[in-house]
Amino acid sequence: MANPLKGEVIRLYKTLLYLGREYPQGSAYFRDRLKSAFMKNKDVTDPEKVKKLVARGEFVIKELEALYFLRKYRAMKQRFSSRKVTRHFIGVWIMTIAKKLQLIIKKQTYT
Amino acid sequence: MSGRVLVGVKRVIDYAVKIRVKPDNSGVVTDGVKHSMNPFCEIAVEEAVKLKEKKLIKEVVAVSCGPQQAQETIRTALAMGADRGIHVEVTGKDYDTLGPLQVSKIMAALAKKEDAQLIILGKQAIDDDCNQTGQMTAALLDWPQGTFASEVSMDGDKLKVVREIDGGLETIKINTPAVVTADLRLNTPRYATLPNIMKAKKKKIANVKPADLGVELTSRLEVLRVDEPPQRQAGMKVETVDDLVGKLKEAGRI
Repeated sequence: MANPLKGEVIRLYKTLLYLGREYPQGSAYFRDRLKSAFMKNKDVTDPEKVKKLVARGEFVIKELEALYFLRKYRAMKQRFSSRKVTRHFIGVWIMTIAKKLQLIIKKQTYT
Repeated sequence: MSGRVLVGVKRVIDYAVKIRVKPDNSGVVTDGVKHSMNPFCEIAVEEAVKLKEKKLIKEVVAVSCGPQQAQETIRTALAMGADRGIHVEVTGKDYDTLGPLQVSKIMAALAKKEDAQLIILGKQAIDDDCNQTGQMTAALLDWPQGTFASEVSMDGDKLKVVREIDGGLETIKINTPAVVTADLRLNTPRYATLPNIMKAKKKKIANVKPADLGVELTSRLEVLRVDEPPQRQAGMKVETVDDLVGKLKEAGRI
């Protein structure tokens, strides 16, 4: 069990657990699924495969951060924004999100 | 030019929490309720950190007024990239009556003490929705203000602020030192990641009492009652136009 990637995997698990505290369906819901996802791959020993799985985890982190941000942004927009100004910004907005997605996809294909 | 930016951060009930009013109508239930940093304050912190990353300023100082727990909020700001924190300790009765005027007095005193070049605040907090602290701070310091900022750019000692106003955008140019309040679209705040929160524990948070700053916290406001918003009345379906007209007449609308 002296896998050099062990620390990496534990760090990923901790980060995801931390992010899960804010999950819309509750942290318990997220924790259960997180655990089973890790347990499912507990016998993977090939470093290449482990690296791939870690990269997938990193991708999930990015997705969660984006999800939380959008959720908060939408709530704030509904509560505090006038429609007129909102319309003005929708175009800008779509562009930023598209760029972000592109970045994520690029990263994903390189790793 | 000191290159120092003060950022105000407020600890509020988390935006996703359903707010409940206390049975005696004296306020809202805060015990055992999840708190987090006011979303507009997050935007303010992000903007300050971005300015620092562009090397336009040198230091970002996060300030929060409140009880011990306010330090958690400061810690979040430090994790997002602020350099150090100032916790202005306000507890008990003083904290209950702490409003925009008191906070802006504290911010103004700190700005002088720290020789700040810029103050960035959120445009309003999602708990009391006052939208006053930035304006009052600017007034107390007699500094220019750029409120509802949706874009900020620095050019020497001048500041260009694009403001969100009714029906459009307004671009103004102001001198520093100045006060800027962040609107929703100023930027997209970064997430305070776990490793960064751990690292933030090494950063310093100074503890200050309002009395040390020579600020008197007495409030001139009294909260009479806090009520839940009225429940929305159920709608009804009508079969024909005549029915609709009849019902509207009944309700005295036409």
